[in-house]
Amino acid sequence: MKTSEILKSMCKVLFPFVSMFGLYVIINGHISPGGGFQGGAILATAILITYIIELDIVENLTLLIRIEKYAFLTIILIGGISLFTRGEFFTNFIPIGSSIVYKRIFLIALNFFIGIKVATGLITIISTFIEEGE
Amino acid sequence: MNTIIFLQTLLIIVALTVTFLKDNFRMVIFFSVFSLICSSLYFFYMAPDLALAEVTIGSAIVPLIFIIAISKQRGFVIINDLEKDDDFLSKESEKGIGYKLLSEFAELYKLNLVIEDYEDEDDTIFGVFRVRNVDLFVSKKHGKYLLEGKSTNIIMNKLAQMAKDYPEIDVVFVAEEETDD
Repeated sequence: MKTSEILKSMCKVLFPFVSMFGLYVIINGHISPGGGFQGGAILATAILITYIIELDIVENLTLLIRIEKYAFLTIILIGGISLFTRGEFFTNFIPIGSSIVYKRIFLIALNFFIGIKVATGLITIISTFIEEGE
Repeated sequence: MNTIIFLQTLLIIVALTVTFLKDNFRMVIFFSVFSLICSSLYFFYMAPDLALAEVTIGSAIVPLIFIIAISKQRGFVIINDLEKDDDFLSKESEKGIGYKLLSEFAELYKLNLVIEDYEDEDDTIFGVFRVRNVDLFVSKKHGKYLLEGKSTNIIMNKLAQMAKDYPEIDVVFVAEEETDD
């Protein structure tokens, strides 16, 4: 199938902006609308848009799946730190009395890893779907 | 307030359009328009978080899945279980009568031929998700070529009719569950 030149160049122009917006939504998830899931979905969209113009960008699916697994383990580990510092599972591991500047580290870290997990998961699902009937 | 009423009316019109359209590709585009209007409505109802999720999932990822599924519909998957040096399904040589017949057949229905070799062990990562939709299974028994297809597949009747001109080809119908999916 022949792809039109307009579509190709628009995809190339859009790609950096969409991925930057995805990262912005992930990192500002604790003070603005959005967060890990929404930002991860935007990141995945940025990569999947390029599927329209070129079909085999993702070559190493196993690596993607491995990254997703490690991101999932890291989320559980970050949740587990609070078990040692405050004696409770999956809450903020920084003590209650400290300043809000340090408290937000927990949210930023969780949002970041959730974003990675969602992005790699969505890319894996759709790449598998494309690969399926061939 | 006027904007919300306008968007709601537009949403109803687009939803009815999606329901009654016959063309699949246009339906997908209207579906993503539906998601865009829906997400702006979420924004006006003070849910910007949901609006962000809706605009990415509804107007980019779901249409992409639908487009891939529609373009996959046109394939006619053939599994090749012949010997390596058998040129029944080869494109180049004069003896490839099977390929000639099948390409004629595919041209009739505007399908793409997808020919794959038969594999016993499928240890790639894609095998986990796989219930494959195989349309035809080619093998050789007692000097005759067997083309096995599902009896529920309507266009198989036409293939059987076309294969009558070739004495060395047998078209066999099998029930839905018995094929090597």
